[in-house]
Amino acid sequence: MGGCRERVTVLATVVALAGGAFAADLIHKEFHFKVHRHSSVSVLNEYGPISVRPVSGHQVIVNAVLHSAKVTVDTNQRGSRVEIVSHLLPGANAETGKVEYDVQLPSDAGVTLDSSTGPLYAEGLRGDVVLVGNTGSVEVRDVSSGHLHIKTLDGPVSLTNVSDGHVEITSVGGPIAMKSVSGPLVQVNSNKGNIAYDGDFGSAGQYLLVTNSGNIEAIAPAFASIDVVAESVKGKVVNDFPLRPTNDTFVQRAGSAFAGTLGKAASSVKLLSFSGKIHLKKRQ
Amino acid sequence: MTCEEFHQALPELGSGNSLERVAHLRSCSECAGLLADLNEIARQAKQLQAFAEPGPQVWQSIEAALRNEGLIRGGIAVEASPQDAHSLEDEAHLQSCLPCATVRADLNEISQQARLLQESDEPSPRVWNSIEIALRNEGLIREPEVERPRVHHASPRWKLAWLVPLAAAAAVILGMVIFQGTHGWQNGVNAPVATVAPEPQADAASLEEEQMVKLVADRTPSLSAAYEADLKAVNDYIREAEGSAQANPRDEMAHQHLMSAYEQRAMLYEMAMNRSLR
Repeated sequence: MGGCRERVTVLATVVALAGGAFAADLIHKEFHFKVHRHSSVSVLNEYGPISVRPVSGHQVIVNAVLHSAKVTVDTNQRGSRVEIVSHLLPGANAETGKVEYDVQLPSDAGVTLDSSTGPLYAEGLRGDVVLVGNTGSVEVRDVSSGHLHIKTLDGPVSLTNVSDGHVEITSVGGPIAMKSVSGPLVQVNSNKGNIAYDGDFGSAGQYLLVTNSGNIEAIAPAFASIDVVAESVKGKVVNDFPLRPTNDTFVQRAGSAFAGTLGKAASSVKLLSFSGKIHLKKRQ
Repeated sequence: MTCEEFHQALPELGSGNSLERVAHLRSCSECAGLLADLNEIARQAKQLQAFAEPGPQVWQSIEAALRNEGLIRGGIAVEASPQDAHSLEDEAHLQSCLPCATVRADLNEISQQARLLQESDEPSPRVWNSIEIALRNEGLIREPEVERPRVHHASPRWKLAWLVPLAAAAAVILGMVIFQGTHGWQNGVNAPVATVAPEPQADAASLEEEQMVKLVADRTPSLSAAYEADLKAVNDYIREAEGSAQANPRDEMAHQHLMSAYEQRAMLYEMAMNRSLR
């Protein structure tokens, strides 16, 4: 019994030492840039997460944690345009080339984030936001006024409280979840991923949610004001709302397509899946 | 690919659809230098135009120019003639500079082809939006800033560099025109449905896809499997959507699926190219 406890103690010591040694390899760097209104900040990171949040004042603060000396951070400022690029040195791989970025910038800045592995996180911004990922997750919160563009291969996408700007998402495999997302244009294009929308569809917006084999679940309140069309070529559609029929030429097919209006039909909503299910659900 | 072929393809570099050019760039320092010059122009253009959001006149001018070229049609009358605005110096430069002359020749060809293809409809707001987004992403237009950056004069050799973004914008529109021309407009009324692409083109596309996956594998080996799988999924989607659109030529939704599938493939190419060029 005593031997077992001793082994545990030794193991814990080894783990602690190993952790310390690993932590000792991390390289911390901090960069400061003075910028004007509506600045532009881009961060290109081959491996590792990028997080962006607002800060007061006209400054950009970049905290970078490099996982080894096989990667460096190149910075470039031209006026109010700031570029941050992770530069891989020979022999770097997904582990040694990893850099973790935490970027604080003015909320009105335009932001471009690009990372192969992600995750990408942006919150509290009012400028245009472009997020490009491959397999990592993409999360956006509390963004308004600017346009939001997301391109990803298979990473999951999550949007919360996004308003008053164009939202365009193109994804091949990852699921896409939107909560309280509204704006003049909301377009989601997915191949295999499910699309979940939970919001009121705003007013005077155009919403187009398209997926190939994924399912679409759109949850809206009873007071939603929409002109909706839903169609699944090979899948099933379900509608919880008492829609008023429209006069257009859309062919309604029980179980696979429906169309109609709700309220004053302020926003146009199109829900299209090729082989997945579609459910327009009333919020309880 | 030879240097001459590369020069001729220079205006298309921004479209991100040729892997052969990337291979050429790696082996030819002269063309790599040319591309570096082009990138420098893009940077200088950003500085020159970073101080203000273009006014409505700029957009009107672009729209007028496109209308004048027959790329779009609609209710607004057009008076401007962009070709008349070229100086004699520009014309002289065109005589001595093959890349710039090629860019202009390509633009003329695009406009001629577009006139033949264009049927009647005004492009959707999405087209304008895409152009604006592309220009905004490139930093060519921005919101107003307090301080005007220092102006740096570009080499006279590149006085016609404005043709490059215009060519890109024209290529976007032409792509839309060609797509809609061959697959029918969204309401399926104006045009016949396209037939399946001939086999040689399919082979070429397959070869290009293999090259794309190889490029990704060279740069980021861990991502090549994901690209390959996603490319297959997107191609399957395109095939199914094409079949559906052909079976239901008047079905707007079927055409929307086809558009979405092509957008996905364009995204894959764009992401792979951007990654390989870093």
